[in-house]
Amino acid sequence: MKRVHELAVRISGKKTYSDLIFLVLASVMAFHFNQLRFGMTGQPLENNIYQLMEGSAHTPFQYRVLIPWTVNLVLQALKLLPGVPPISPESIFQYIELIAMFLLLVALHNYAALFFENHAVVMLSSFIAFPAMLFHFVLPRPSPLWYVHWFPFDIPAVLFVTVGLTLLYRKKWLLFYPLLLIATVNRETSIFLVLAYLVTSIGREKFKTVFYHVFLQLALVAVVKYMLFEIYVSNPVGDAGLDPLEIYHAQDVQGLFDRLHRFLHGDLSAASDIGVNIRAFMKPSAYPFIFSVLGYLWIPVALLVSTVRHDFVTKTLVVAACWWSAGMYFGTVYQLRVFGELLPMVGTAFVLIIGELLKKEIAYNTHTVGS
Amino acid sequence: MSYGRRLVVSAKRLTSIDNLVFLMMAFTAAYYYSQLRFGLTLRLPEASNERLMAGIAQTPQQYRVLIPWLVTGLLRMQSLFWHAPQASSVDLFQAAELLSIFLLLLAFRHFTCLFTDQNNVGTLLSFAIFLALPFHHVIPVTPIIPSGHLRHFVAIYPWDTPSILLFTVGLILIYKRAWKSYYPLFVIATLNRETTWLLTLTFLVTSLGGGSFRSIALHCSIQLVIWVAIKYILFQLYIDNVDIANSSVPGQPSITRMFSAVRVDPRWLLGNIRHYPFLLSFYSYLWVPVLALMRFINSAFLRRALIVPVILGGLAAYVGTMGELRVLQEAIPVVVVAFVVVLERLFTLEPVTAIQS
Repeated sequence: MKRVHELAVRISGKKTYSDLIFLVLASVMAFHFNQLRFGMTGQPLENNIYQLMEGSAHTPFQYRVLIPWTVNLVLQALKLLPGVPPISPESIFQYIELIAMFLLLVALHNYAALFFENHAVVMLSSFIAFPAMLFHFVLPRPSPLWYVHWFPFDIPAVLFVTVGLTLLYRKKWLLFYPLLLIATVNRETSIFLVLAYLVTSIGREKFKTVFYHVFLQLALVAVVKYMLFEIYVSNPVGDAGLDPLEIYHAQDVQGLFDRLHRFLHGDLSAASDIGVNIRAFMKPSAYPFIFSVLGYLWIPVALLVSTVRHDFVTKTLVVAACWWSAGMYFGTVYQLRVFGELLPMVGTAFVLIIGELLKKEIAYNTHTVGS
Repeated sequence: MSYGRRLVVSAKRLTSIDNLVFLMMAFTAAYYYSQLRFGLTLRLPEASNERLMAGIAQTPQQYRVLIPWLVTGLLRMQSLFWHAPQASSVDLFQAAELLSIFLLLLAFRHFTCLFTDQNNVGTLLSFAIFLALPFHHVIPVTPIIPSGHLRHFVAIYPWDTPSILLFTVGLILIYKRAWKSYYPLFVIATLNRETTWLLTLTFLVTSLGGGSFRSIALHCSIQLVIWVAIKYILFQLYIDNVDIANSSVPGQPSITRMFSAVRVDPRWLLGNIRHYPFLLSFYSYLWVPVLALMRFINSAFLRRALIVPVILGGLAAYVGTMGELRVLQEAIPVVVVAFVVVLERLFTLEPVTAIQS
């Protein structure tokens, strides 16, 4: 036991060595995941990369412009460099996603390092991402077979949420606000970072401080959203036939509330995705797929949430629950990619639960032996 | 008291509610996995289920007869009770796959709990096998085949998942030295796939130095005799079938056909660095922490059993196709349990404690 203990201390003490191993493994996994993403998914015809780059795709997909704009910028920059062979937009999208996946593993590593001291555990916590994300972004719905839709904003969105949570925990506001801006240009789900700040700060910080930060963050999100709304006000709206059912996506806030009001008064057609979701839950044969969120990791987390002894992580699970509930309204349960951003919240909680169970068990065993 | 609190306190003895939760999760995961298996894989025409049932598939695939025989038997039994067939052969093959994966999760939980100190964590972490299986059985080879296709789907065979199940049960029985159950299992498992010689090898390496040499030699001899007898009977039964390695020479009477295999030149795979992430993804990359932290494994049985994936990997590189990760499947339970043990040790050692809020 003493030898093993010394070994653990040695391994956890060699930071440079373990960091190098981590970076090599993260590169390999990111590359493999990237290959799978581009080999196993399909682009929706109405919202493919060319339409996103042109700005002619359907909203809300067109609002998620960070990566298409970046690709446009890179292509323009390459034109200025004589002698550089032309690169296809597809390649640039693929490179960006590869970098995003690699950075996501690094970001998860840094997030886990907030809660664990041992480097090996931190590494393992971040590598949970690979198999867990397969269920959201690679594996198709098996029955009836429906391949995952590939969008350029999906993996960067998980990355931004993970970095955002880390910055929130460390209260690095100078970095958090630019990140929130970029994350919102990438996808509007950044608003859950605001919720994460709210639930993790209430009761711990002054009401005035919380109020100012929430106000500022909401204002930032609203400004970005309004600007994008104005830029793409003439674009077609909705899934454009991706779902065989009626499309409903909100063009304005009033319309959203109107539909919500109609839905709450029993009009299921007011929000077709809710209708789809209700129908999905009425088919037990769909449950194994629907519940495969994060490779089923959410189930032990939901059952054993009371064992999580870290306040920040517990509160982010509230955000995860809100996220999932919102996904019921804004998305269909058949598209698990909608819930990919839950990874840092649920994955970290899962690892904490394992640690807590083992720690308590040691205490329990010691007590039993002692008595 | 919340469910989580109670589970912590009663870690040693799982209640019927805990077991029910586990069974429900296992069934859900098994159902989803079997759907993926049948939706995302390809079938080799030369070894289709119909040909396997008729006994006319190419060898060595035809030698793996357990599930085709079971399905044929069930279809015949059906005709005794009903005029119209109630279930097709496709249904029965799919049911066999679903049942196998469900039983595998149960068996693997048992196997995990043999090496972990508490049943609650062992039960929870036993699901790690579900994260490793898709890398061998579902996720296609991307994007690396010589034909230039973007992906190459995994071939599905009816013996693959049962093979892991029977191997896991075999490991449990070897660990417990439950020979009365082990030998019938060995016969069944050999009918399913010839890789049961790995069980004998596991027994040998885990027993050397721990028991009398005579006893070890006796058990190895019995297993060898059973294995050769079954292989020879199957060879004789299907002697006229086309062989995978000599497809133009049906009925080749050479005894060497018992061990025939197609050797795929690994240079096309190893020659391109872009293939390495896929090649290294076996056991869901879990082999990396196991290899790096092997000294954390305090069970001699488990440490010695880890020779199986090494030998299997070497053989796959030599006689198998390195691009087919499913050929490494038998070692999945050993590697995943080793990972669980490493994880447990990491958490139970002092420097691993979570930073408190």
